[in-house]
Amino acid sequence: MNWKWLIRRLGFMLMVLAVAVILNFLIPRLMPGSAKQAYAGKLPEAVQVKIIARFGLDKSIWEQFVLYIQNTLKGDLGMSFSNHPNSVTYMIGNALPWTLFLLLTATIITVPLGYVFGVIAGWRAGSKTDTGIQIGSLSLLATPLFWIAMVLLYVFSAQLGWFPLRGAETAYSGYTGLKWVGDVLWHAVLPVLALMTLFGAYEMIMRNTMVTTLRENYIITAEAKGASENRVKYKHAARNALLPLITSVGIRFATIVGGSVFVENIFSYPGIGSLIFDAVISYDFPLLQGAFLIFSIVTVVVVFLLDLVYLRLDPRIRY
Amino acid sequence: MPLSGNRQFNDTDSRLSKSIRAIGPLFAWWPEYRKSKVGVIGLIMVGIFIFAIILAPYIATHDPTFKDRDFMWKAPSFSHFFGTTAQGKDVFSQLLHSGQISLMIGVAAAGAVTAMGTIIGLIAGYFGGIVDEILTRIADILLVLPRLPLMLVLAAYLGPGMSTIVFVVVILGWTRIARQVRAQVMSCKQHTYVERAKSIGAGNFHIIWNHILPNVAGVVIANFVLECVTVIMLEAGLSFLGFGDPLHQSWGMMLFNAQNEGAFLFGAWWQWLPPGACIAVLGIAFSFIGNTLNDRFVLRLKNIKGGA
Repeated sequence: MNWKWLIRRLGFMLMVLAVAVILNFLIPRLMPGSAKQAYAGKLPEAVQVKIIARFGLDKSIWEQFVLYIQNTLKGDLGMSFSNHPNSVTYMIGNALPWTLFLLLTATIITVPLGYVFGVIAGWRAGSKTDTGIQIGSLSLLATPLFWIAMVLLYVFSAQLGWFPLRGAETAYSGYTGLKWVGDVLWHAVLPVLALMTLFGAYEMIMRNTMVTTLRENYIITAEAKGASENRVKYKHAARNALLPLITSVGIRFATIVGGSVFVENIFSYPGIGSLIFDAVISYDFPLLQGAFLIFSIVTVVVVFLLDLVYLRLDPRIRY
Repeated sequence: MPLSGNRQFNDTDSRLSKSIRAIGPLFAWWPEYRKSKVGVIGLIMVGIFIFAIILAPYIATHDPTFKDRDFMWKAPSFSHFFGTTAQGKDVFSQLLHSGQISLMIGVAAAGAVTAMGTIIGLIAGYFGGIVDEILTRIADILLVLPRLPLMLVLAAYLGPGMSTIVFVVVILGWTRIARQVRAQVMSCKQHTYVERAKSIGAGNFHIIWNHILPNVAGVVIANFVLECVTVIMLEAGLSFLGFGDPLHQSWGMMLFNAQNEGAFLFGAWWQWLPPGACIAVLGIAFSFIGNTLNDRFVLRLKNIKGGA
């Protein structure tokens, strides 16, 4: 186990989280108009007084920062403007499992797909198969996610009626056990399918690293010593091209959490993406910033888990 | 008359070849590029789009802002090629005019993103040391932070508008290009010609401009084209969420309006299908070009005949 490397990565993750927290504090205070105005501008006098006290908006910037850090560490992200009595933490807590379910399912399905197609395309770069796969993934990547979601919803739910129109489960159905699981899966098919268009990104990365890996001397050596095509392809080339793919999965994850904003909105899925969408429309700053923070935490955790995978796979780091 | 051969003996011929040599570098990419069918198709598609968008006032059949109260949510017909919106505006004419905004923002913001990424990448890669350390760290952090939610937080405080969208896209989008340029600079810094230039006393700016930049140009250009795709989609997404400029309607704005006017619920597919398809087709065309440039001039797959 390479503890030094692991601790350095852990330090980096903490740094990312610190930046997210600091940005959340700074952005409202650096923008035109005061934070006081943004937080309490349109509300009645009595509420304004309370909000100013809650955020310490009449104190110095350092006292505000200390108060902000204290509240954040306690898990208090403030009150939602648009759903007033509810705290941001409560709303996000309810929505998070649904979003994680969608994002992780989509990622777990698409990464192996991207790997396989990338190996096939990269092995014979320039062949008809390669061209076909490239055109497919480029097209998927260049199409707006929310529009794909709209088309899927229109064709398969509205027209054909194969899948439900909205939500994550049938409302008031009272399903329990396996029936509930089936219901949830049935509702998740189209949103996951929409998110799966990101498969193109993994395929492209895998293919491009395959192309450069295949020029390495150890590939020629492997071929020269008479290794079979599949052995060269998977054991020698793809094994090494896999490492950049794993790094990119983490970075891509930071992008697909953004995709969930559109997909969840189109399918009225009760996740954080829908919360963000509503927060944007109603200028619900605390909710928006809370969602950003949660997404940062989720991404950092995913990236760190992938680091552990990386550690298993890359002997240069393992020892 | 063959241009090659004893051209130095013929006066007119040599003038001709000189002018060809002068514009030569501008088209030096073409013989290699044209081998890719997909790349050529991409160029033709973008060409058609630019042509249609520039000639929008002449091609458009209606005034895109005119609300025809007798034609609300009419399905596509000969008088309205793509039907009308809930307010009776002609979708086809709107598409052409909105294309101007989408393409303009896309190319301008992608240019700004590329410029910023290239400069940062050049500085980090060339100077190395503590500067490189700091810039790389910032880029790493920005890559892991969820981009869209952060953009939304920024945009929500800045308020809707075109400048907000461009600002947000540029300030958070330079990392990918910067990383690639940096990697390229690091490798060509090792070459002997850089050392030679240094030893005869060339300044840093001279070396970057004359010896490093030409070597990273391939990466920069390929990434600029690919960045256009990203930016056009981001613009569409941000506009769809309501951050667009109501006075300058882009394709994303059309989708936003379609959603707001309930076109989706009422089955008026002609209002939301075409703008999305336009974004997709333009994006696909750009990525065909970008990917071809990447294959030919960055990855240098010389032996490919067809290929994407």
